[in-house]
Amino acid sequence: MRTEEEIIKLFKEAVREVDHNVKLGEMTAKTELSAVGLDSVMTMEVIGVMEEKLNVRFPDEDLATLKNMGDLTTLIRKLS
Amino acid sequence: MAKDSTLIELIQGVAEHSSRGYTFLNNDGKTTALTEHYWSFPELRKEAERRARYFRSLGLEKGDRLAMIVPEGEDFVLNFFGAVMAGVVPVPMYPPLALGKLDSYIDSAARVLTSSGAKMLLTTKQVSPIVWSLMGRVAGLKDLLLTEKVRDHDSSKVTTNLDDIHITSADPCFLQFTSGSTSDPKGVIVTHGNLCANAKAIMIDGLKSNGEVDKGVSWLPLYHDMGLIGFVIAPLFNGVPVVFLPTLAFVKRPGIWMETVSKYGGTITFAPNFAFGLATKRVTETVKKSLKLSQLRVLGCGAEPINAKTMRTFVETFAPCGFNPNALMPCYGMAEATLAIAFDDLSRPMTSVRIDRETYESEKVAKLAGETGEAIELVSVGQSFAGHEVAIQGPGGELLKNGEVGEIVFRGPSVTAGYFQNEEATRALLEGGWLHTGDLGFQLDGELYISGRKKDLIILNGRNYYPQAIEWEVEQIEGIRKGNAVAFAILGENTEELVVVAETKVQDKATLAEVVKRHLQTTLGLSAKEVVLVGSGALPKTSSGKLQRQKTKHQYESGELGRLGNRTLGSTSTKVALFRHITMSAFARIRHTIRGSLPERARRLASAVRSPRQVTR
Repeated sequence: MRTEEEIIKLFKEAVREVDHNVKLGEMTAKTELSAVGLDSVMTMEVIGVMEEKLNVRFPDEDLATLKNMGDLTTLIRKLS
Repeated sequence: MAKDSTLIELIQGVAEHSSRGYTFLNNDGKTTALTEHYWSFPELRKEAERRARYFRSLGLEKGDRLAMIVPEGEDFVLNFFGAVMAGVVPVPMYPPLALGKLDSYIDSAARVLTSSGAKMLLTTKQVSPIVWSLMGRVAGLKDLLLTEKVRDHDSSKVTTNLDDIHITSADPCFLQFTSGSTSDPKGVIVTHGNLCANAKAIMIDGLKSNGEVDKGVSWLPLYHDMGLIGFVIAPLFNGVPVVFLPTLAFVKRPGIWMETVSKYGGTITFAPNFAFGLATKRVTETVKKSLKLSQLRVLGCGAEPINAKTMRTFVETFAPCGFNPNALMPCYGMAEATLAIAFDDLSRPMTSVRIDRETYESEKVAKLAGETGEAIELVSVGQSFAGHEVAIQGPGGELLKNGEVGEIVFRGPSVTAGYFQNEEATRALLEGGWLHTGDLGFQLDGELYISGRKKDLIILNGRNYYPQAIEWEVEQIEGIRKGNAVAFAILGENTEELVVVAETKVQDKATLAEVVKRHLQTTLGLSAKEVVLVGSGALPKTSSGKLQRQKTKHQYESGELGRLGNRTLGSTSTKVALFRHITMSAFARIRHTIRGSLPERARRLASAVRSPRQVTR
């Protein structure tokens, strides 16, 4: 099972792959996805990169309810 | 009965082409792999009729509105066709996709449901927990129906038949709502006649398509006109097969678009400008080597302003894959015109003109730019179709001549009957027998160019937003002066970009600006390029106190925003300095963006200087 730190690291890598100009600050489980500084299209691209790396698919309806990094961690654990 | 005058007849007629049909690539499994579901045209017709009988058995009558929040393409198309065959009027709505913005989603969905007077809401098992709360909120909405139930119903128990349904070309086929958030949504009535006329214009006049050789590929959302009419409805006209990808699969992995075109031998595909940027951005050399795009005959670009540079980058990037530059086809259209208004000529590459900015701004005339002076590059969207007409109107409704800039108007059988149950907006839209597009442009030698927008609409990544909805959200934030926020768009590289200007008395403007940005992210899922906070009384307003978005935008772009409110400009020398500042900034302004002329701006500045509202803090 992946730790929260690992998932945050993975998320940051995915953001860099999508757009290396985005500056990311300190992130915790409470960090809201909407506060990361990505627009909605970029957020979905980041999700797409993570899906490829983890070889899973985040169901659409689960994505609609994701709020923060903690939710993302819970979802990834549920799927893998 | 005239053949091909209703969508019902198109669905019945296409069933003659038994060797062709629609292929849906679905996300069924636990991985990102897509599975293929093929429906031949006769199977599609049969299934649509089966579902139509079921809808009738539930008590849905001719003309009843059936709202649809159905994210998957296959499910959407079968139910949409089923409703149409039953004489029911579907109301496609966009599904909840944004992350953690469910409250604002539910609010805007409730407004669309109310405005459409929907009797039932059709959705999936997975989406239903999210939209269930709508049931109590919308008067007249009687039931929530699951697509699984429609799919799995026992047809042997359904005795209703479809013989008593009499639909003519003047009957509404479905209601098209704009996709972005808006406080006052308007449903465009798309009649059967509109659809047949526009389908013919697209498939025959525009694309010169042939069902035996062509193949469409689309990831476009089906709740949007370009995806629904362009790829679900129009291809029925001559039986062009289509491969549908889930929209999210493209947004998550933009490379899948050209990969699918290559794999399935796609000859026709369309997307808004921003998608061209995405497709180009992350494609690797290895992927490019595996792509075969020489058969791609039409790559249409529409639904938002077209940036010539983005198009050129795309052409260069995919040239090694055999991509033919002639395939690139800028086009223009809108829901009120069913979909298509004008397409570029397919027998040539993208064509653009460089027009002189000064003449454009001061005289409202498009004159080709010379070697010197600043130029604006605009892409030709070609001409309209047989039986349709495009013209340019001046402020008094007079038709303008070659090269003169005014509002683009359109007429012909594709023009909507109006907005659903909204006579006032319909009158304004169709005044004088022309559809008023709200877009500014001109014609040069019979070709249409789009150069700006009369309305304050903001288009971000292909979705329309009314500034009022964004401004209202900004005003909810503590520290922002109520009624003193303005939102507008400037043209960025791949899509328009959002700028918000608001008044505050708070000292720490930087922190508050961050709060505003974050709030817009959380509530509307929008990322503002810039939030500018100014002191009280700095925003330009009319004498009656109304906000002036265009004027605020001009001030933002020329760098004069907020500078006027905080000082008294008495002496001539200060005014001269300011005029110089404005003149200089004319050279540093954002590319492609068209603004008022310099003398006009000077007049505005002078009046701003005199206004007492501007100099009191």
